[in-house]
Amino acid sequence: MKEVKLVGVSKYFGSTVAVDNVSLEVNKGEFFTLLGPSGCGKTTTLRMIAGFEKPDKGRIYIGEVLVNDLPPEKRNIGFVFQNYALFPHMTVFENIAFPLKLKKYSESEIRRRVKELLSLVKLEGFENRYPRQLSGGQQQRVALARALAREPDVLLLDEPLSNLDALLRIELRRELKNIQRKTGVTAIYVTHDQDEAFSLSDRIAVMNKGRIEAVGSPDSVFNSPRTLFVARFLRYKNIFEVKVGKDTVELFGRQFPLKDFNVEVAEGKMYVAIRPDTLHVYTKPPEEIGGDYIVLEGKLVDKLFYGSETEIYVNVQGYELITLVSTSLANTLKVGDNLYLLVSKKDLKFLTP
Amino acid sequence: MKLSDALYVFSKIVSYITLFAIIAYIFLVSFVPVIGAFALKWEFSILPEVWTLNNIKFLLEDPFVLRSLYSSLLIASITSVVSVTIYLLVIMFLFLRERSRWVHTFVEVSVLIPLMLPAILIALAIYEVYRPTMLGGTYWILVFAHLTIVSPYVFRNLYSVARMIDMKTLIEAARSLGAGVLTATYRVILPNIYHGLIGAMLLAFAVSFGDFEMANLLAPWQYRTVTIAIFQYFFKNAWNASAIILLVIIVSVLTSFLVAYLSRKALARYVEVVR
Amino acid sequence: MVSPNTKSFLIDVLLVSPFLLLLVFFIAIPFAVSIYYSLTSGSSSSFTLSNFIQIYSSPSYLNSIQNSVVISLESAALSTLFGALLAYAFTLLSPTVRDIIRSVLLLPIIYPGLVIAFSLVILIGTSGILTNILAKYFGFYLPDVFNVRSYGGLILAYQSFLIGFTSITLSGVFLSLDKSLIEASRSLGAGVFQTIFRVVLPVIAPGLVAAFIQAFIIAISGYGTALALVGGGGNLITLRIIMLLSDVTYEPHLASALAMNIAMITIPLALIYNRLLKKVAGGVV
Repeated sequence: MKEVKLVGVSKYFGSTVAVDNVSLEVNKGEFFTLLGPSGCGKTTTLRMIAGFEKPDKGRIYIGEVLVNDLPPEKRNIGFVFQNYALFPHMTVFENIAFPLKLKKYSESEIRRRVKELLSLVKLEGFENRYPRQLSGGQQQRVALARALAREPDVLLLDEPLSNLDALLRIELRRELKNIQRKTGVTAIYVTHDQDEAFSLSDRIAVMNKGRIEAVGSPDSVFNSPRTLFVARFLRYKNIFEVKVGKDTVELFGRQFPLKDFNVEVAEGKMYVAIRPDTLHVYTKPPEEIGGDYIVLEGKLVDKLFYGSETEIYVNVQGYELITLVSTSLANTLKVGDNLYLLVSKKDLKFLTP
Repeated sequence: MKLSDALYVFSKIVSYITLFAIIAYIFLVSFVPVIGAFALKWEFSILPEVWTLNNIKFLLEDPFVLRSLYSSLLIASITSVVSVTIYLLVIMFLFLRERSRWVHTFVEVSVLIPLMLPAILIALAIYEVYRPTMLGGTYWILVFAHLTIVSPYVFRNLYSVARMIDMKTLIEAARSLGAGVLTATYRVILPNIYHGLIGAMLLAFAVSFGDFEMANLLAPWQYRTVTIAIFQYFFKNAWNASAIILLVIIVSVLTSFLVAYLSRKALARYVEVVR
Repeated sequence: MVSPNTKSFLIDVLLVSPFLLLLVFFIAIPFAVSIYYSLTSGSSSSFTLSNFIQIYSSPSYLNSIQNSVVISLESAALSTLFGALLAYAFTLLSPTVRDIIRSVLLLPIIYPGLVIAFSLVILIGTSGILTNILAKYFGFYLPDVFNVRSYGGLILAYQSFLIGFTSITLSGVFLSLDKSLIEASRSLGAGVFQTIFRVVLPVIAPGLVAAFIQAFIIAISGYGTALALVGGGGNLITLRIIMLLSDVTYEPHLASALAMNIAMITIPLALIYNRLLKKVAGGVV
């Protein structure tokens, strides 16, 4: 396993920028995810690391080696494709043995290694099946075993689970993580599914329009969005435009001193995001609030029942806030009731547009 | 019965009758020469009044016919091999790396050009341009002309197979596993488009073998093709000509069924056959 | 040491150059030359419209163009109608039967057209087998009503292979025609005719037009069938071109100009066809 480094990498398709000045470092043995909507450049980035595309600008290193001019076959990578890309004319055994034969392993060595890999992906006994005789999940396991066969420096995975149904996806997700841990291979994973990204990764980079908008541990990326795009993409619900002055910020019709909020902010147009689960609902004005909290007074507008929890919509000074309460509490509320929402100042996330 | 049901039944009946009539018509025109090839006298009955093997004997003995058969086989073989090679390379080009949509469109449209232009126009122009060159008087002039008319068939066949097997991803997969371009082609691509390749080759062979319109203008006299022989003999002796036609039909029938068989076989690799 | 960029560029060049050479030397240059020929006369190399003027001022040439267009239109219309009926029948058949019938329909596409022509002459020519049988047993002499060595016979001969093209193109359209679309239309209260004209036709229209164009182009550009069937007795553009290229009268310039008349019709049609083909899955070519 080796580390991967990208320095100022850009890629253009005609006049459109697919990847825009991306720099990142993936550590040895790390599970790193490129997360973003389709067309954000994540797949192109991955394909450049693999060598399927050439960067127009910048440098790509695998280990110490500058690989810009190396064709994919000389990079010692493993690539897992969205549609598996198993060789249809070869059996499972032959598929996994393919890279080993190219490396001129001995017959017995190949047999031993394939057996080992098949047990790793829990497909013992499937050696003589053809890809068409396997289910999607099984095919993807074979693809994974094949990609790991020659002990790649880095394993690249391009939305490997997106063609599978939801249940299988979650099952395979855990296995994938286990296999990566067991083999200790450096993995770079591309997905548009944030659940996948958060549950699998050691670190995540969120991409938008060819740029990286956030990098960090799943926790820091999820809890401290810095840009409007990241907050929206991570499904933050209460996002409002705010005006930031020199020392104060106007929130829900009230002025607050800027220094109250532990974020570096720029002057002018910004956005603030509040996660529904950080809003606490009171039917009476809460007593004993410290200076770290803000109380917002509003009227209940609507309720949406979701089983044990109910989503409620509260109008605060013309802003509609969404939050979740227990259904038993919601049952006592009527549309038009006065409600008080308590939120910690540190849970207000200030975002740049 | 409601009007709609009646219409539905009516349309079903009409389409079945059409189907039956057209298949009967095709069988009729296809097999009259087949039977005729064994006829000595056939005038007033469903089958020949007098049967003979003389037409077949004529086919195997007449030097002109034999020569034309040789020419056609030669020209069709070269055409099919060369055209499949050319288009295999083009397909490799298109799927080796990500190519822009414009490159694909350019190739798709230029391959269709021979369908847009009458064969006679291409033949005439090729004749005028290349007769004074070293190609003039050789069968190569006809081979090159045939390469143009078989293009759409060969390209479409290979292109659809390449798309079906997702050739680009297969090449990428092979390369990510350490195979160079040549190894990827030889070990992964060729085994997977093999059926399509043979199918395209057979189609090219049949189209070239069956061509009359270009050969009539371009074939040098010592390389007159089978279709020209049919044309010349038909007005002398229809049953003799039928024997030659029989030959062309055998080639066509074999080709058409082999192509269908191969394309089904190629498909079977991707879909587990339900029994 | 060759740089990797140069190497992959060289591979690209190696892969496309045979195709590009074929395209340039045997399609582009010949086509350019035939345009040049059509705009020059044999005697001098200066550009002139004299070939076209000669064609358009000759009632006989004009008549050949008219005949070709009319016969091709009729052939295309008939084969599109039959092709649609066949494609509809395909939807009622099992895939296996459909495959077999399709390969039967492919046969005449591969045959040389003149084989079909000769078969028809053997069958229903003036002394054809069927003609003789009909005359002998029913006292009905077919050529009195239908002479196979005529334009009508040509249209009949064309059907044998045009239907193969149209039905295979259209079967893709018909098979992909969503049955629920029809059911939805019926459930919304549309009658049979409304459903056909408002829902089914708009969906299959591109396919019908594509099939028609394809059949038309094939019919107007070929000459093998016509030469075998009507020979010198027919006045069609392609036959006139062939006559101009015989050893006795070799006039490539006038012939090119005549051929240009076909190309001027077929090229725009082919471009439309190519557009439509993107909406229509399948087809022979």
